Amino acid sequence: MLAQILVGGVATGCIYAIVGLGFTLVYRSMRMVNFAQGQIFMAGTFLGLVIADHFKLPAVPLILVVGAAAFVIGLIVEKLIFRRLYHNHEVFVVGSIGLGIVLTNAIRIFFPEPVPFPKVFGTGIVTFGGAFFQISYVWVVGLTVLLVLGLHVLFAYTKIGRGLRAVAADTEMAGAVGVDVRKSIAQTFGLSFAVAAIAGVLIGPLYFVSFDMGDMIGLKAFSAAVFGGINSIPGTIMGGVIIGLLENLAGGYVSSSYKDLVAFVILLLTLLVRPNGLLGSETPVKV
Amino acid sequence: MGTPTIIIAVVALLAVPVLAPTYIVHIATFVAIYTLPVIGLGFVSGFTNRISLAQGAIFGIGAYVTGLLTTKFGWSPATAFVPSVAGAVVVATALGAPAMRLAGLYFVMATIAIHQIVWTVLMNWIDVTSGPQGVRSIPSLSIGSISLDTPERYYYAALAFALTSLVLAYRIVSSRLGLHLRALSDDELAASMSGVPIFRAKVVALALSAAWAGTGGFLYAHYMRFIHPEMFTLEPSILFLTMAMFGGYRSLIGMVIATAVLESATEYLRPFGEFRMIAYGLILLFGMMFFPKGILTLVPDVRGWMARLLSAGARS
Amino acid sequence: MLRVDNVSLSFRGVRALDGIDLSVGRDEIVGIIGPNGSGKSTLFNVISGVYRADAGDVFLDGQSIKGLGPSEIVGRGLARTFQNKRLFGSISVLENVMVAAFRHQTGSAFADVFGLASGWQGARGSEQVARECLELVGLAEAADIVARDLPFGAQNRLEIARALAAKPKLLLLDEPAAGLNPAERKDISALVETVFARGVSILLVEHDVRLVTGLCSRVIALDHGEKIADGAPANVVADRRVQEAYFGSEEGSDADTAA
Repeated sequence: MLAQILVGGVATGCIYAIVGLGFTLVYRSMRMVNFAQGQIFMAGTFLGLVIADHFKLPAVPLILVVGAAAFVIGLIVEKLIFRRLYHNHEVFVVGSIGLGIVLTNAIRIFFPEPVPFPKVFGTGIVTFGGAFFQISYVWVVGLTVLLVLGLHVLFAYTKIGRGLRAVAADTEMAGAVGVDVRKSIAQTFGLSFAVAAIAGVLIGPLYFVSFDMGDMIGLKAFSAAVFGGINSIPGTIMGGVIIGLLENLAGGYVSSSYKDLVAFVILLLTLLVRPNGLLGSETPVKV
Repeated sequence: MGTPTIIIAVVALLAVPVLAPTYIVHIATFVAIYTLPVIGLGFVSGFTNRISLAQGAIFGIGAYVTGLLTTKFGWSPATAFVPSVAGAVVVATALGAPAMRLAGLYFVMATIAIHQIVWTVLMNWIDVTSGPQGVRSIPSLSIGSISLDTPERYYYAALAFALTSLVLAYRIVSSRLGLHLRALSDDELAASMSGVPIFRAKVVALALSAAWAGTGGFLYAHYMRFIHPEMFTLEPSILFLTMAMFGGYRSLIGMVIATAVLESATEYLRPFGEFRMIAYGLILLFGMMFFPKGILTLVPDVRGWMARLLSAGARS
Repeated sequence: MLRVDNVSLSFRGVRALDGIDLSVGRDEIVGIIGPNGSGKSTLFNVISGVYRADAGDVFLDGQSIKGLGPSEIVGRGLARTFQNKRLFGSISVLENVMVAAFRHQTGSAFADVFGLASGWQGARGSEQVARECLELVGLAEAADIVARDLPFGAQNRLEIARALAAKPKLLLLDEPAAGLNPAERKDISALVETVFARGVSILLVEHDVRLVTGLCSRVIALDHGEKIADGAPANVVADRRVQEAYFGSEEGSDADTAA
């Protein structure tokens, strides 16, 4: 039983982590929080669903296609919408929430009921520590690792990545040394969309998908990002996995109804006690 | 607002149930009820520069306390009022006061956490709150032996509460406390240096906002007579915040008007489910994209324009 | 009245203040001069409770005020103005001053809100105090102007009026003449003297050395967080180290801000 709980926790945690990355990437560049991130994740799942249904793509191409499509969509949405919201935090928060509401309900019109996602990862079962898991779990964890590595390579070794890092560190300086700040910001959003959409494809086969799945997961992914350090990528990953684990442990051994509390209590405590989170490094914003 | 305008407005408001169909009265009652948490937000957001997304949950606490007291313990609504408000204030202050130290974005995050924590408890503490089943058969308010169980009758009760709270809010804003809050929202350091007890003022603002929200919840519970956790998700929090933002946090009248406008506008679409919500989301999104300073900035300030035009040359 | 005792403060490894000793007695106007970055504003921030010193202590009337927040220190009888004018932009000139005047208002908040007699009297009293302060600085007619619309030269005076409304025993003025033209400087100087004549001790920071020597009975010079001179104005200005601090520093010579 313990193995079941632990692995399940890690897998859920990875989902929180990946979606949380979306928050982190945007925050690092813009110091703003995109509260539509959960809904983007959900939309990504449905995008994956539609593509998988129509084109019958197997797992890897599906992930790549969805990721690429989401990236482009992210660029467009940034240019059309987010760019007009940068005035201040409140405007961005409320605006992104509005966007999230539009997304949720737009999808709801087409998919009012939960629908199953094609089993693109196959229907294999793996065993680990005496418990049985769908093979999807392996993909979830595996892809999280790949994503983290991929991002690391991106940021450390590519020109685009270095530009993104520069903008994240100091926007003015980055512009001064010739980085196209606007493009970098757009790319950051694109990346955050792509990442969320990929998470959507990963989680799709595990459960049914429905228009409201982004709400809770978005909030918990947000908690993960803050807990881990909202401007730290490794922090967010850690935060997600820890929350996933703690949640499952609490659900298994304490009470399943209060599972949801875990993420939010952690969020509140983090903000009150250590707003930087585990690995974050900003000057704390306490008055 | 001049006295004649006020009188006309009040008379018009009193005449609504007489002149308008029940459907409109129903909406008007909601508007009256919602102005309470919205004004409450004005205290927190207008005067301490903090956005709170927990107002929906506090509103919910007000509703649940009275709902439970009147159904499980047989209390009368009148006696349940004070505990209802008190409950809202206590929870909000206990959880929110420590968060007051946080600035801007982090404070919003904290209020989200607070909201979700409260909501999860409401949803899962089945023994007390009956969880998703909600609380049913909540009695309506009554004056003496007259039960206010129709929209027309309840409207007057809601209106009375709304107007009273508006006057009270106005008095508070004009008072020493109100000036302290306005000063501290302009420049906290200077306010501190002028003797304003910053933390205490912020906590008071928080308590006030919770009192208003709790009262709104109380009214809501006795009107709907059935409440359940899904009514108190982040959605109403966002709704209240939007109304407050569009009204311009510091303008009491502005917030009331914004509440009326937004509620009526979206109410019209209620039968359309998703479309209503999409419209609502678009209002939020476009509102923020194109009117980041608040809708009321659109209302032409003719006097101001004239004054500026005339003095443009004379300014040093 | 005010005694700063061996105060030191570092920010991320940079020594902003290093063992500062100074005192201001009753009936003194003391000036602090020094090039940019010498720690003048930092010192003010420590005295007024915005920063807490790493070492040393600050005494007001014999009692330590180290570690107290600004609003508590105001309660002990110290008030200050800010170099970058920090007005409450959205409220009127009169209301700006009333915020500080409220410190002395008796009557509970409840009475104030509900219009009870005790609250009403209290509010009237504060308004009275506020108007007197405005009168003193020459802004009586501007009482109802929204503070952010106030012309630049008047903003300094509003800051002073606001600080005065708190009825301080000691007033810290942070560059009261900053950005003013020569005529306005003369007015401010006269204003400071008027305030002093009413029994308020004054500690002021200024770049305009002539203004400082004209007003102050004693001058202190700072450089790189250290006190390098303390005494009669003429002596301090002529002090070799003070001259070096000004003329030898990269920030340029502030010493001849002659009008």
